[in-house]
Amino acid sequence: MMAIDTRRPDASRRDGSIGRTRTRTLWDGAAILALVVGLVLAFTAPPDRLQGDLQRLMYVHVPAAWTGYLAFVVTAVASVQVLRGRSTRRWDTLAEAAAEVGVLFTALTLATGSIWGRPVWGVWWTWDARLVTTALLLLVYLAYLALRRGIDDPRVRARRAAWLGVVAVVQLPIVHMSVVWWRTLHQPPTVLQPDHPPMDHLMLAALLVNVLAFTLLAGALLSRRRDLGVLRHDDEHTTTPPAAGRAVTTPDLRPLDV
Amino acid sequence: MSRDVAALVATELRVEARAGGTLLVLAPYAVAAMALVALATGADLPLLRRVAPGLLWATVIVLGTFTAMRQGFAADPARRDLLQLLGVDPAVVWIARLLTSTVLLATLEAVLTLAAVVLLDLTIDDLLLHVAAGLVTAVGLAALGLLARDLAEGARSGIALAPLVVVPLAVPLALAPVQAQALAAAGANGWPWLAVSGLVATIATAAGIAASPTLQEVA
Repeated sequence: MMAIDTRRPDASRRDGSIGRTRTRTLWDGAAILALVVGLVLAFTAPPDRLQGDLQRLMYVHVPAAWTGYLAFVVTAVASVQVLRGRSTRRWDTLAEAAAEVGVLFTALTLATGSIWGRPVWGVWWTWDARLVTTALLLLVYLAYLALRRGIDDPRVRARRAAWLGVVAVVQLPIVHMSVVWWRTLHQPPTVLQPDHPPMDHLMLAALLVNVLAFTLLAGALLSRRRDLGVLRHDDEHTTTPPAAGRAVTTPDLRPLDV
Repeated sequence: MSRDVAALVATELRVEARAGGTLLVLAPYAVAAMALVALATGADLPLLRRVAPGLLWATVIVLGTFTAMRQGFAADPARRDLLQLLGVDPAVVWIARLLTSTVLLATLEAVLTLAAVVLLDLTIDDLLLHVAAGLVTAVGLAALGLLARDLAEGARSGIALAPLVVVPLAVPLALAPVQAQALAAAGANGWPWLAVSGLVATIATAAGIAASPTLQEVA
């Protein structure tokens, strides 16, 4: 049976805030350092033999796509935890934050892909399987965010969004394998090939550093967005509901962490 | 369980037959939309013949979403409460809603196929494949529509949110019948494409059945 805790949520959690601030500062520092190193490597790595400097967009495009995938996986994992009845304060806010970060990086992937595609393919957009599946992925997660904003009751919102978060992640393997299953203009997987990646070592190193940098950046954004979500969650759970109109209110005895 | 499902489906289909929401309202509207596209593209028959399969299944997905989102017995809180008090499993209610929507969508597909043959000169090379693909698409679309409708129920943006969930996830349901028929026309085996739409239908149905107790509880 769940104990009823009527303490203010911020008072019960103040102790850990100093440690979290220190961890966050270290994380932010690592992200900034990795981004700077990644940027330097992206401009010093050898240019592509055919595409020249245009290919340097890869150092943003691929890490952004990877980060988007990762964020959506985090959303799915957190959604499963919500459906298992775990703390919505912890997991629902994480799912929401990860979905927003995922949408941001997936949109960046599509934008950089379009900019890259224009000089290489001659068009801003082509009906390629990878492009279309990625765009659909983005649309479904936009719907996920719209669903969250449309429901006021936090408990209902958490559970409904969790179901969509679990269903939506099924698209990820389809997006990833689209270049294998269909004939596409988009190049097949390069780094995740089972044998040795057919890429210059310096280019591969620059790419991997940028993947790390984007992952750290996504972590920093996720952490901040989740904190906002937690504040909103606490606000929703400490606002006293009106008992008889707005003039009379009742004490809120609901558990804090539901 | 199967008797409960059969009773609910029969009731719902009787109500639908009296109201005629799908056959008397949506099907003519869908045919009109198809004719509008044909006219707007210059009534160019060779072009229409080429795009006919895609136009048919896109119309099925976009307009069929409205049928798929119908709530049936779940729309009336009194009936919903009665079913709950009678101890009917929420999964049974969900399966009955799924089967009802599937029957209605299959009917809509039949009407639209006929319209596409007449208006767009659609050629069907493998009728059995067309029927099978249509059934799988109907199940998948019904499951996605119901799931999206239940998720969006009571949302501030209203049920307008549901098609935004359904359409991107339903793309394989439109793609599979078109590609399967194109392969059949080329003399190849189009049946493997049904596995793609079958996978979507299976996942959506499983998610809907699993989510039904939760969604009914919070509705």
